[in-house]
Parts: sequence; structure tokens; C-alpha cells
Amino acid sequence: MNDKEILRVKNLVVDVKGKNGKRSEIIKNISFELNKGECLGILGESGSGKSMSMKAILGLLDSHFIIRGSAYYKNMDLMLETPEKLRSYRGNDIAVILQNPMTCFDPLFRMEDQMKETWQSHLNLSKRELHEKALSVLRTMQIPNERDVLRKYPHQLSGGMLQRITIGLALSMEPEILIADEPTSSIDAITQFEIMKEFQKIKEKCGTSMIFITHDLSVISQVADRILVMNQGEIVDMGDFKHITTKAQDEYTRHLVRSKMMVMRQYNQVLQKGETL
Amino acid sequence: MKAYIFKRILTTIPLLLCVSFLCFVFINLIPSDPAEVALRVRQTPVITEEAIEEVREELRLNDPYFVRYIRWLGDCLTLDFGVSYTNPSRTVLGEISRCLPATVWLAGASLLFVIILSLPIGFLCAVYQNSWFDKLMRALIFMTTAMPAYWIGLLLIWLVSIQWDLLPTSGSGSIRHMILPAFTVSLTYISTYIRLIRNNMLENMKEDYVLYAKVRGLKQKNILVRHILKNSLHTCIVAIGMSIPQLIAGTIVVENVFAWPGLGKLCIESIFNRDYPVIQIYVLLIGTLFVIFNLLFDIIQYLADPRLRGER
Ligand SMILES: Nc1ncnc2c1ncn2[C@@H]1O[C@H](COP(=O)(O)OP(=O)(O)OP(=O)(O)O)[C@@H](O)[C@H]1O
Ligand SMILES: [Mg+2]
Repeated sequence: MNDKEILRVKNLVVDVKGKNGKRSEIIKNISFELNKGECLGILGESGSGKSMSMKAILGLLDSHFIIRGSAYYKNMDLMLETPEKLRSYRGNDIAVILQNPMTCFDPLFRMEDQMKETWQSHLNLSKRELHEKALSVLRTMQIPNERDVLRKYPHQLSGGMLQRITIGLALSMEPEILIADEPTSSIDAITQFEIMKEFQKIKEKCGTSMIFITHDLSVISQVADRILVMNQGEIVDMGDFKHITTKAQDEYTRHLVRSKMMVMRQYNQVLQKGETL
Repeated sequence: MKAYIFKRILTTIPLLLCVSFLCFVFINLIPSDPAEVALRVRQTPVITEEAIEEVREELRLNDPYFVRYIRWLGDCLTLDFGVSYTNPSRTVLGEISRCLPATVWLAGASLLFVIILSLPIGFLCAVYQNSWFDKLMRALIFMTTAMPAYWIGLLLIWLVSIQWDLLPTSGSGSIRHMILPAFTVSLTYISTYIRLIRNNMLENMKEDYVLYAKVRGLKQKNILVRHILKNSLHTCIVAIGMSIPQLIAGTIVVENVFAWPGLGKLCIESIFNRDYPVIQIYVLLIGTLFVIFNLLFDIIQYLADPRLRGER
């Protein structure tokens, strides 16, 4: 692991033990590295193993899964760390943003409690400090009426607002690595645009190293410095956006690009038709 | 919020009317003539047509069906449940209120058993899913669901009271008398609730909010107790509302096995004596309890869940 890198995943394999004792490989020997300050995009269709790789690295898979390989973070192999050590990294050193903000929070707790819980798991703060921190996170994310929002339950807030809160929460711990797992795919188009602007802002201002997981080529083009294409648990291509769209080696990648381009063309046609009507 | 509760209370009124009507109809469907039964019970030496007719008049059994129902309902609302056929010097209300406390105690103790056993066991079964503990408990649950309560009661009497001489075999009077019958009543509910809590927790563990909690580095204990268990118990609320009247009704067999002087025993005796007013009120009471507890726990669930409460 050299100075430039913050995370290096090497020969990661995830097997799942089936009901009848059969094993199947979900992740088949993947290796990649994340450089400091870089935004690495992981592109792949549903079921290609994007989320699974993230969970494996964070130690979130239960005993049904057999994990081999290593994931070096700051010269420590995360695969060899104790569960408690891994827990203390999660949310603190490595923050994660998930796909569906509407279901991310416990429906029975107020936002303030759930935000505070995050910090209570890592820091020793007084009640007052926790409250102030919660307010300041909402202010940073430019959420209006922050005092009211803290008192609300998740179902009372919109998806976009909740996703901004999860982003704010993730950044509040000043993580070394930010992993976003399809952060825009369950949000409407307009909010999607706003959320993507947040990610661009993070990239420019905070310089946090980021892994951005998505199946959407156009979303990934907005943030990723380097793209890694996954298919059926394997990495099939790697390179910048231009490389992926024009010079991809892999048949699957080319197919992905082609179908995406087709959708965009159709979309444009519909738009033009709409204008002529 | 108040509107919901008000509406919910209003909807129970037709429900209660249905319960009372069914109660009235079913008892009147029983083939034997209550007038004749009353005469037999009063040990009238010769039962003549005239005597029957007299008693019919006395008990006002000749009025039209619906009139009798309305009159009966009106009486019920003023807590005038009439007198026992078997023993005219006793009122039904007196009989019921004499036996009710014993049954409430028994049901309460059973509920306590259910809570203190199924909560931790269900929790541990979910947390250590497929461990030897979980497997053992599942086997036990399977066995208890296959065994009827009275049989388990008899087994317990034989083992605990006779073989080990630890607890009295039957009767009432002290907490020691209550342990065996209460445990017997609670047994089926314990297995139901272990299963319910275990499965609810396993379902909740798959939810996004659990993944997000883990990803934020919350402590495992917090996630399990504060979030998963709390959410799982939420779905149990309605079930508990149903179980309480079931427990009260379910004492019927066990009370007779353990000679526990409660409603169940009264009911069985009344059935043997064809003491219709008592049976009728017993059935009405249980039916009403179901409706009321259902209402009560619906409201509790409503108040406990911010999504239902519709907070804005
Ligand atoms: N609990 C599990 N047991 C067995 N197989 C699983 C389990 N969870 C996921 N898988 C399999 O692992 C593979 C990868 O799943 P993963 O969730 O990583 O996909 P993904 O790339 O994140 O897709 P998506 O875009 O839908 O999120 C899938 O083929 C899925 O069937
Ligand atoms: Mg995924």
C-alpha cells in the first residue's frame, strides 16, 4: 500500500452458503484501490455485487457468507480486525450513504434521537453539544426550520430532505472514506439533481475520498474520476468515463454503454417530439 | 387523533350489539325448554303442562323473540342479569362477580408468565438464530403446540405436586396454588409469543434501518434492543389485545383441572345444570371483553406509532 492510497482491496472473494449446503460465489476475486481524494465510481447492473463488496469490506456480512482476501485501510487489514474495531470505524472513518432514505431511519424515533445516536456511538459529547451538533448539521445541509425538523419522525420528511440529512450525518464525522451506494436511485429526478450537486460540492470542498456506487452511467459521469465496471461479481473494466464509453475492452461494458446511449437517444427523441407538438 | 379514537369507539357499538344478539340467539337455539329446566332444578315433584306454562309466564318466555332480546339487552345495560335458574336466591351478577376475581388473578398471573418467559426467549432465539438454544426452543414450542392444556396440567400435577411434592395439586388461597394453573394456561401463549417475537425480530433485521444503523457504527446491543426489539414489539401490541380475553376465556379447562374457583368452573357447572342465564352472561362477558380489549389495544397501537398518529 503506497502513500497515495487510502483503501486497497485485494483478491476479495465472497461465497454464500446456500440452504442445501451448496456454495455460490457472489464476489469473484476483485481487487481495486481507492486513492486519497479520489472519487471512484463502481458501475454495474442490479445483482452484480456492488453492495455486497461494500458490506464485505465493512464487516457487515453474517456467518452465511465466507469472505476471503484483504482490504487494507491505513495499513490495517479490515478483514482481520475484531468486530468492535470494525464498528468503531464504521460511520467514523468510513461513512456510508444508502439508497433509500425513506426507509433508512427507524420509523419509531424522532430525527434528533437518530442523529444523536450516531455521534453517541463514537464520541463523548454532552446532551447540549449533541443538540448543537444536530442543529449545525441541518444548517450546513441548508435544511430550513431545523428545530422543527429535529422533532419530526422520518415519515414526515421528504426523501430529498432525508437524503440530505444522511449526507450531512456522514460528513459530520469527517470520514476518511465516503461510500455512497446508489444514493440517488430512489429519489425523483429534480431532487436527484440537487443531491448530485451535494456530492460535487463534497468533492470540491472537502476532498473526501469517495466510492460512488450506481447503475446509472450519467450519474457516475458527474462525479467519478475513475470508473470500475462490475458484472456478476467480477470487475470487467476500469478507466475514466471517456475510456468506458469509447474504448471499453469488455463486451458487457460495451453493452451497458450502448443500451444507456440508446435510452438517452430515445429520451431526446421524445423530448423533441414533445416540443413540436 | 381524537377524531380517530372517537370513531373507533363508535364502531364498537354495532359490534357489541352483534355480540349480544348472537349470544341471545344461540342460547335460545338450545333444544331444551328453559321453563322445564327451571322446574327440574327447583325439584318440583310433578312437572305438568300448567306448571311449565306458569314458569314460562314467570320468566316471560312467551313474548316475541325480539321483544325478549330488547328487554334482555336493556336489563344487561343496567347490570340486571336476572337470577340463576338453578338457584333462584342467587343473582347472575352475584355469581359472576363472585368468580371473576379468581379468574382475573389467574389470567393476570398467566400473562405475567407469558411476558417474562417469551420476551427474553424470543429475543435470544432471534439473536442466536439457528444456534442450539434456538433449535431446542423451537423443538419445545413444537411439542407444546401439539399437547392440549388439560393434559399438560395433569402431567404437571403428577410431576410437580405428587412426585416432587413442591406445590399443591389443586384449590386456591395462596400464590403457591396459582403457579401451576397459571403456568398451564400460559404455556400455549408462551410458545405463540416466542415465535412471534423471534420471527418479527428476524423480519426487522432485514430492514434498511438496521443496515443503516450498522453502517453508522451503532453498537450491536443498541440496534438489537432499542430498534429491532422495539419495532418487533410494536407488531405484537394488537396480538396482546386479543390474547388477554383469550387468556380469560382459556382458563375454562384449566380451572376445572385444578379446581380453581373462577369463571371457567362456574361456566362448566352452569352448562351441566343448564343454567342458561349464567351461560349467557358468561358468553356475553367474554365476547364483550374481546371487543373492548381489541379497541383498547388498537388505540394503544395507534398512540404508540408516530406513522399512524399522523403527526405533522
Ligand atoms: N443474503 C443473500 N444470500 C444469498 N445471496 C445473496 C444475498 N444477498 C445478495 N445476494 C446475491 O448477491 C448478488 C449481489 O448482490 P448485491 O446486493 O451486491 O447487488 P448490487 O450490485 O448491489 O445490486 P443492486 O443494484 O440491486 O443494489 C446478487 O446476485 C444477489 O442475488
Ligand atoms: Mg445494491
